[in-house]
Amino acid sequence: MAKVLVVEDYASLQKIYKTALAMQGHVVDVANNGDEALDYTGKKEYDVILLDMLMPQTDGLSFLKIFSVRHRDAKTKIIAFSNLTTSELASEARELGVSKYLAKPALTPKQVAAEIDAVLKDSN
Amino acid sequence: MVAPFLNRDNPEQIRKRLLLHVRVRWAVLTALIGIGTGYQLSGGDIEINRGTPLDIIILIVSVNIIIWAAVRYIHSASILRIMTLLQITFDLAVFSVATYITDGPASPAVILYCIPIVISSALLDAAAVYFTAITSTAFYALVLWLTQIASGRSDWPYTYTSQIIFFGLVFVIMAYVAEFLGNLRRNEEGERVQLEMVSLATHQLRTPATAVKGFLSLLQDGDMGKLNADQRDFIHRAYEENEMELRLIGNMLDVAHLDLQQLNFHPEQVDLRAMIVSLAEEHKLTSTKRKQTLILNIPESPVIYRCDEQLLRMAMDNLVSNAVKYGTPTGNVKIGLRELTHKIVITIEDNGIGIARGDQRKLFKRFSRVGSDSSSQVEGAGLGLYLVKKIMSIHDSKIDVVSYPGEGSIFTIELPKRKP
Repeated sequence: MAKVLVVEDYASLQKIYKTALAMQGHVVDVANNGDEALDYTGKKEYDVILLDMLMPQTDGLSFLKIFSVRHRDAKTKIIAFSNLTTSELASEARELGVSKYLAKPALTPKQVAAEIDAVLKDSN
Repeated sequence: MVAPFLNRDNPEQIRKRLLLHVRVRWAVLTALIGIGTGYQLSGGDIEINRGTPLDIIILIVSVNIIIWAAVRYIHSASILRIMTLLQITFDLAVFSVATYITDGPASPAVILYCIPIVISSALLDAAAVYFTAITSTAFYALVLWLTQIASGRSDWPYTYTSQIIFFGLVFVIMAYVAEFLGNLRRNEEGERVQLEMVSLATHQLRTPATAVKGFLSLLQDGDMGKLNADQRDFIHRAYEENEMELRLIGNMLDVAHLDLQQLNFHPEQVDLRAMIVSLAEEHKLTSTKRKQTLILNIPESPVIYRCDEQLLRMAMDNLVSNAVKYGTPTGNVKIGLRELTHKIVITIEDNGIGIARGDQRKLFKRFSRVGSDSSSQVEGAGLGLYLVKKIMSIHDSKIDVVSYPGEGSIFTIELPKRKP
């Protein structure tokens, strides 16, 4: 069981990922954007952050930049997932500490959950 | 194919354009020699007052060899841009000498030489052409004036004035051409904005379709309760339809990105062997599900090729994905890579439903969908192979298909080896 923060602005996707991850036994919080995610991470340490890259206000990259400074020593693993899978965005995200970059349309919620398990397994 | 309008940040396009000019010069030279010889043989006499036709021939040959040699070894866009400026200066020098030797702007040598010069103007902005025109005309006038002084003459022959006026007029025409092409380039900017809009709109379509996929997937897996057989079947169909929609959106996005990326072609040294191994790894899951065997016939050592990695990978991914999708379950999908002396050959082969001969011609057209005797329903929007063909043409490469209905298809990509 892991503490997972889903950062996603699209309500239906929030529900899907929250449901799928909760079914795997994870404790899930949901943030609507990067700002909210920064509030959550300020109060609680997460094992995994599932981060959408394209969001209004503070987007994924901006969140990563701030998070990497504020929580330099955190053990939190970050998985970025987006509809936009350009290599430039993916490599920039990786440079900012993202463990995996997933293409959202290619994966079912269970496959996303499996990716989270794999990242957690690697870190242990 | 040389792109009709030059993107001056794209070294490959500048290089191609420079080489096109080299070829135009060879053609002009051949025409000049042909006209001259024909004229002489028919009893005419070419009036050369200050030299021989050999002078012009030597000049054109030298210019061409210098540019050709330089272009072969230069990869930087900024230096290639300077080469385009040097090229037009070389052309002007030849033009001046030809005018001087033949003592008249109306001679065939001078008129024929205008052709490559005017074509060259397509490379430059109007401002650059005006600048080159003014400085070169002034330089030419100075040379004529110095020649007069050196020969001890104080008069100014009428022909010199007419030469300078003619010279200037040629440049005015060139500037108009450059301005016209500049306007077209601005239209290209408009097209870019339009493509970006398409890209954005398509991207927006992806999010709800991804959500539908998520909901259906959870229902299909029985996570929301047990389903009866009909419910399972209906949800499975809805899931597959949505998957098709997602693929269609993906292809539309790729086409929009590709049209944008054509303006930003980024060639680099790529290991094609590694690319194929990684693609095979990506498609292994789907092919295993279909009980297909994925066979790689590739060399043991890396095969390095200069190309846009993202684009070539997109093309290969489309072909491998088709081979897996249309290949017979329990059949083979073979990916081959061979390095020959002048080209690199990649083959993607399946023993699936195949494509009828009549359909093969329209296979690579936008929105073309082909039917097959053995497949009553072929999914997709007919963009995948259009994309592949487009990517190949950007790389100056060929793609061919050999296919027999019921036996399978072999797609062959031929990537020409460029000289170092």
